[in-house]
Amino acid sequence: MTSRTQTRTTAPPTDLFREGMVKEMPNLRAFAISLCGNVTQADDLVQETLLKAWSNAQSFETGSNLRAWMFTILRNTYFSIYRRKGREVQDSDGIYANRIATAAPQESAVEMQEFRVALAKLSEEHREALLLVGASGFSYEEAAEVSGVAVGTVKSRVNRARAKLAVLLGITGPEDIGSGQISDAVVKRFDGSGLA
Amino acid sequence: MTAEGEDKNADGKPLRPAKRLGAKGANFALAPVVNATIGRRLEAHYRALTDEPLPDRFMVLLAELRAKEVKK
Repeated sequence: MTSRTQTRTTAPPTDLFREGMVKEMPNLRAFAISLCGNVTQADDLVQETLLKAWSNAQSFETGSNLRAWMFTILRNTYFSIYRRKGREVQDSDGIYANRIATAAPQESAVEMQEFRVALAKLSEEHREALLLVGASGFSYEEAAEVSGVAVGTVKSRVNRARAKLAVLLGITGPEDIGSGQISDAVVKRFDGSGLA
Repeated sequence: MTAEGEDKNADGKPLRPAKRLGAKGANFALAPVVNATIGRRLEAHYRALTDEPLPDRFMVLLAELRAKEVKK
């Protein structure tokens, strides 16, 4: 987009910085896909983030949190440019669900598909908070910095996101764990499979 | 960022029953087993995504950017 700096007065990004960026890519991309629910758009978003991060490398303080810095760029780009309409992910049915293989053998494919559809139904703010804290490995404080809101707001959003997911997935108590709304056959297969 | 100083008491630990969430907070707490199930599915969802091979274009972009730096 337009924010690239054309001139640089300081040293170019170091190999260490570059390696750090590469290391964050999988997590960053998983966040982007989960946030916008569309792999193509998510990859554009990551590409744009890499470009901005590289172009603004001189503003990154060596030794500070590169992951948080890159996530901040990505979410700001998303919320200022990519988000067009509505509060829900646009194509929450086909989406990436069919493109991404389920890599977790203890979770059924049905459960994972169900989870993705439910995740897409959360508001963007709730989804963002849940992803940052529950999946990307940020503390509440770091997530608050990334999102530019108070820590209490992050906590509230995460709590609400979980509650909404519990409703959408039909998980209301111990007796429902592992079932959700999936078929009895699947329940039986996955019943009692070491739920923490 | 605006978060500094707005919630000094926050400790960043996993959610407990929502004691300090104040007016904006959700005034409830999910059963731990429900939270654990959601957490487990979220992690499985993420793991599937992070295990995916990355598109080539990211590394291509970085290589191009570095090549430009070298030319300068």
